[in-house]
Amino acid sequence: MNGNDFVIHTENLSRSFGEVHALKSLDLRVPPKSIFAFLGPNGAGKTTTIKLLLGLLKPTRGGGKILGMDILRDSVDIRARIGYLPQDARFYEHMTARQTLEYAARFFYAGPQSAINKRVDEMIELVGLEGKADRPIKGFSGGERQRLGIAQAEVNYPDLLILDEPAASLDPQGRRGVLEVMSRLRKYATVFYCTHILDDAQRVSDQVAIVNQGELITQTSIEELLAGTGDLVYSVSLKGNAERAYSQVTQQSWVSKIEVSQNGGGTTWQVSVTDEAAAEDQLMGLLVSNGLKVSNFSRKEQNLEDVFLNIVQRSQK
Amino acid sequence: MNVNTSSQFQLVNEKGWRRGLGNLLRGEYSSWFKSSRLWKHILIWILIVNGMMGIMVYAAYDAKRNGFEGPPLIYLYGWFGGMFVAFGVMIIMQRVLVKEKQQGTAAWALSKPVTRTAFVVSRLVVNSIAILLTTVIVPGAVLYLTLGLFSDIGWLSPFGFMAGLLMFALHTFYWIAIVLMMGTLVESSSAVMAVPMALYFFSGLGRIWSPPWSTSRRCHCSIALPRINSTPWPLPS
Repeated sequence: MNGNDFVIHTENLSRSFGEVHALKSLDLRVPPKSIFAFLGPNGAGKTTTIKLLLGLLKPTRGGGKILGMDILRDSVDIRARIGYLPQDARFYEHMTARQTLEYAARFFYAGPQSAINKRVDEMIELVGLEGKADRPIKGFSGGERQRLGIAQAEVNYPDLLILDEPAASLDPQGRRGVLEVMSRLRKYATVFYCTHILDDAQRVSDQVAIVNQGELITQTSIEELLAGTGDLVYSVSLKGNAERAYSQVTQQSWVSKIEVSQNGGGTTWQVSVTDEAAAEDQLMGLLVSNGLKVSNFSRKEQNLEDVFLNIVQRSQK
Repeated sequence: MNVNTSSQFQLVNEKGWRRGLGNLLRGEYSSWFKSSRLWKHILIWILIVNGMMGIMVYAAYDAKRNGFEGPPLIYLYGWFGGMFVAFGVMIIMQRVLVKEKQQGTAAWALSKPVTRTAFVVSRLVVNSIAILLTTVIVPGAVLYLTLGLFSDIGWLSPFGFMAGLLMFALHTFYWIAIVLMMGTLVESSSAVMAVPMALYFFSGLGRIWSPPWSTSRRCHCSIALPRINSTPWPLPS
């Protein structure tokens, strides 16, 4: 893929606020029709990145392209082809949801009114705001505002949707609704979104980038990220005196680490191993031969949260 | 645009700095003219400007009845109306850009295909029309009727009165523009208010404290007084 094949392609994108380097040389590559999660702790530079991509901030150094257009020179043309949901979406309080969607649509379409009305109705239906479409936004809950935010971002059939914390203020049902909408939109658009909810990111994303303290730590597919985290971890729950077994197990060449915790008269070990086959063959035998009762023996599934925390902690060292 | 885009839509055809201007004007217009906001402002300004002038008309009538010289009504209208309106403009306009920046609606609107110039121009145009209507034109018309119907001044020359209102309008527009400009530069409401207020007070103090050898002070008097005397309507005696 060359630079123009990516929907978002940045090179050395940097932004400083005085002495604070909010973003340091970000090289981002977002493939088309992907759901791309942009992850990072608070203050990592996620929202700054989005503002730079939208042309709301100017980079201190570097640049980038969106849909083949330069983020500095063609900012207005880029915005004509994307949809954006801000973090903590706020709209004009005197307008109703329907008026907001019509207002958003009219930035792109001059008419005819019937087609705009039809599109507005489709968007209201998409996010399930049929019963509240004609009420002023002033009385909307956080979740309803968020759903309206997604609807206004999609109103112009964008090629790229940029969503800043799309599910942050939603209840579990609302979150599931947003994830469904995102999955549905994958057919038509690339979705680039920031989130703190790693469970959601794992569920819907194909690609992930992790940023910390303004620096890109990793960018890969979600499968590779979950598979390529090094050691496998086995969780074993034991009863009996485990001291001798502990010293024997730690001496095995395929064991890299054991974390021990006590619970309810028993002991739980988290055994990190470098060789899955050796662990499957020998670990249980070693435990039983030392007279221990094993009440649980399972391979711990890595999830994105573990991987994220590991990566962020390693990057901070 | 993706495959879903239907040819049934006519795309917006604004170019250059005007990208998005039409819709921004429409949105800002609706915030004033399609809500109760306009009527609330008209009512408030009639109460402030015309209420004050009503008191002055009564004072003039009362003074004359007792053989005294009444207050110079037109002069007072300019003095009080100008001051109240200037502060009113500062209060109304300081919210326009700063509040939008603080609440995030500015960032939202600017994430659409619009230019920053179009965004600021839309705020300037619509707010100027609405503020001039509510603080100058409507209270001015009410004052014209009040003087004609209830004071000894009677019916003034409409052209002369309109010329006076035009000066008011320019003075008001000056404050609208300066507060809006401050809103583009800073993020805090107090900073947006502080600079125009300082400008207002120091420009007034400059006139009062100008040294006796200053020609500008004499100039103010020598130009202002003949103009007042040469107004096309009779000045109150």
